[in-house]
Amino acid sequence: MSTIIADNLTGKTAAGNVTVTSEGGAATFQLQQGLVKAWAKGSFYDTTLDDSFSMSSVTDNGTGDSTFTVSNAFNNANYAVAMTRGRSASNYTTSKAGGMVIADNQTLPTTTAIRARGLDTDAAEFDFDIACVSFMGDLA
Amino acid sequence: MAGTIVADTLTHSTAGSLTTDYVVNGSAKAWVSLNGTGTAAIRDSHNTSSITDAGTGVYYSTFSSAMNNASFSGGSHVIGLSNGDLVATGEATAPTTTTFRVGCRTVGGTLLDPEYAMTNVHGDLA
Repeated sequence: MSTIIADNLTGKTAAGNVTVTSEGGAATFQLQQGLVKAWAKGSFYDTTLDDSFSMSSVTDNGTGDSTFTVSNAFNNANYAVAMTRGRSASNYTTSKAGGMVIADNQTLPTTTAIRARGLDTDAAEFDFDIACVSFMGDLA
Repeated sequence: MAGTIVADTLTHSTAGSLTTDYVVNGSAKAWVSLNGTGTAAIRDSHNTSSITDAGTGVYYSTFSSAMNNASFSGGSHVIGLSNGDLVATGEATAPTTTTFRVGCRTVGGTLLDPEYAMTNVHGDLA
């Protein structure tokens, strides 16, 4: 077993391109492109991040309406986001919770933030107490 | 080749260590952000050779390097500006080792083309 002890990984030919061999060995991929650049577990009802990486804040814009802001800006707003939601037992007080979804909030993403909405089965805003988001793309 | 390091562990001076299988297995193997309005087009992507407009509000991306199997994890999100709240959907089509499909519907279930459709894929490359 070998260990690399380092604070930085930098490509030799191109600083932003470190290549990793795939699990099956048939392909390679660029490390920087594949890394999740930020993630968080928070909620729609307050501004607390239970755990996160490279996230600066979550803004509560109102019931079921939050903005998630990253610490380091992306190179452009063309990154890919994945979001999901859930509810704990303490937030299980309405039968409408069953079919909730996260939808967009008719707001374009920026290089530092994305806005999302939590909706119940009647498409009314609802404060999920679990909201998870991850960002993939090119950092500035 | 500029050089290859073969190692099992990466250690940062303050942030801790992780075994390199987390780097290999934990990295996103593909992601894409596309514009579904008009002629569907890739905004930015990783390991994505093309996208296909499979009808109103339905798209699939094709990976440049195939996955080892179709049992990967996929996520998606959609954003539109003028048609109310939208939801990313699966559209009842199983993924393959080279494709992943996403749909965009209103909360009422109507398919429509969004300004942004985003997907990401985690799993094992071939």
